[in-house]
Amino acid sequence: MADDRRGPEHGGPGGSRPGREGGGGKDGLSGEELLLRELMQRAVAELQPDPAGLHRIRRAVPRRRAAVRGAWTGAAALALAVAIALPALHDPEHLGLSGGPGSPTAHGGTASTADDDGTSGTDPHDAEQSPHPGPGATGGSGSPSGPAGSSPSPGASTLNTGPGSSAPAVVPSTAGGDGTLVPLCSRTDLGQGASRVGSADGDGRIYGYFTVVNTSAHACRLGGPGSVAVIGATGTDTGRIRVADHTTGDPATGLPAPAAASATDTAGQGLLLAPRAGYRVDFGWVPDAAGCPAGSGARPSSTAGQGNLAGPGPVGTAGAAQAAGPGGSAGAAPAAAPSAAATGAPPASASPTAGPTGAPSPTATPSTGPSTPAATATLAHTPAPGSPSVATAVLPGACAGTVYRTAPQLLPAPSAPTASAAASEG
Amino acid sequence: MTAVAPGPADSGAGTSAGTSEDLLTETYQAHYRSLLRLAALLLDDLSTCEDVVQEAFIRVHAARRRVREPEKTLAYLRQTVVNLSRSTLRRRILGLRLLPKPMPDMASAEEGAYDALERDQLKAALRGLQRRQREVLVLRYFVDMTEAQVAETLGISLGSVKAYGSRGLAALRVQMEAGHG
Repeated sequence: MADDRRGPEHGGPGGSRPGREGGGGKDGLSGEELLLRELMQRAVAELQPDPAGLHRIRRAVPRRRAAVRGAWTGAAALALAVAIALPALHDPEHLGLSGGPGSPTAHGGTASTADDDGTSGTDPHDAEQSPHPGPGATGGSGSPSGPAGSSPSPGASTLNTGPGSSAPAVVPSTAGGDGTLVPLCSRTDLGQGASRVGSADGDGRIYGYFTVVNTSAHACRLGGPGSVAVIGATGTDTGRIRVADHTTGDPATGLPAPAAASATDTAGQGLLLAPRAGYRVDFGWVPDAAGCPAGSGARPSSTAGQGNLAGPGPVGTAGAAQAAGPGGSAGAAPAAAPSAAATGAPPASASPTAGPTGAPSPTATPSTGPSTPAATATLAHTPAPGSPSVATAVLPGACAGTVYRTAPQLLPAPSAPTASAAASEG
Repeated sequence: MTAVAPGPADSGAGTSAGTSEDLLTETYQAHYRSLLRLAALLLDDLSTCEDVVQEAFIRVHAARRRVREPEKTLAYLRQTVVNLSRSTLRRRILGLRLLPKPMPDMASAEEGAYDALERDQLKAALRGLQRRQREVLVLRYFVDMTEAQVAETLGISLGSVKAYGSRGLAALRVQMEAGHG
């Protein structure tokens, strides 16, 4: 599409002054054409670039490269996760246990208690803003917990960089900073958070959703899927509640198909929210088949689940690593911050090294939680720009299991959300 | 071909993409302004022009394959600006981008009122053209492309370029004369 003939015309710094250049294109023009040429050049002659332009571009290019790579990494992780999850479908016994793609993102909330904003420039935000809603993204947020048991070094090095303190104000600072056509939603653009939780079906599965509305006066682009995290639990241990991205073949069959969800997120652009438009994140709670374990019941299976998914785990880690390592934890940090604040988060108060990630892992703490039947878990959704969360949802009877979440989807109309998803079941 | 010296510009980004960053700076200094003016003729508000040109730089430079062909970089940039301007216009028609900032008044002190009038009239007239006509005229006369180059950039045939060009000129003539009358 390009040709070299064009090069010399505007090859040099003088390209900004088209009028001074000779060019093949202007020879033999009629008087009228020459007049038009002159008028056009005069019409824009005094237009001067925004001096910040180069800086914005310079910052955005590496981020865009990372997003492009991340999309590929996410696709690879998704393919791997599907490859692993599909065989599991043939064996109903393991459906609820291996949880397929869910396991690598276990404890996405608690694993990411470290928040290292600012330690590595703009890169940590890449993971948060990367447009792929698939396992690549969740691998980023969840990977510290997945591999932590077997290979503590990456997780530890990641978490060492930041103290446990939260600095949520830093996250929204990237909003709109990447030079795209519609600015990223900042946290203050989003509000009217709401949640809806349906009643449990025969298998104890509970479906619900969060909705968030662009309450600002301008259109903005959602920079990422945001987080759904367990911020509290009564009668159980938050470590027993895993949060995973909904993927094809996982047990949360009542959720919208993940393919459709990701399709709304046009490549690299994020979900576009007009003023008063909202988006919705569906979630589905799938209890472990072993119920509320006393100790050994569900442990082997969840351990096996992580073992199975050692493959996707590192892929997800790589996805975060290409956003400069700490990106993984920074991406999930918005979720972690309210979690630490609201519950006093036992892991967060521990040392900022691999300790926090190891502690809530089911393999590491086989017997922390009592098996109280009347357990509830509280979920919180934090939109992509970061803390604070917009809404919480309580899952009654949730003791041990997996929360599958979808990518954000546009609400059909800026009117009040309906309960259609809550009524559906798997 | 990318053998450029370490750039004097800030190296704050600190990425591994050292050489292409320097190339970015060079390309920016060489072409940003003319591309911004190109966008300004295709669009009508300044903030969108900046967005479009910056996005074009980001896209072209994020694709290393393209950056490795510096002699084609400008062509890629122009083509991306044209395409983005088109999709931005389309999006604005759909009403998703709200309240575009108006182009600031760029009339300078020494410029006569008639010149400003004529200039605004041209912009209004350009806006009144069909999109393809406007693109052909701007590339042909502002960028000084040959008709063949315009055809290549827009991905249309040479005959179409000629047709859009002559009809665009005629339409422009009518609009400008109507404006004077």
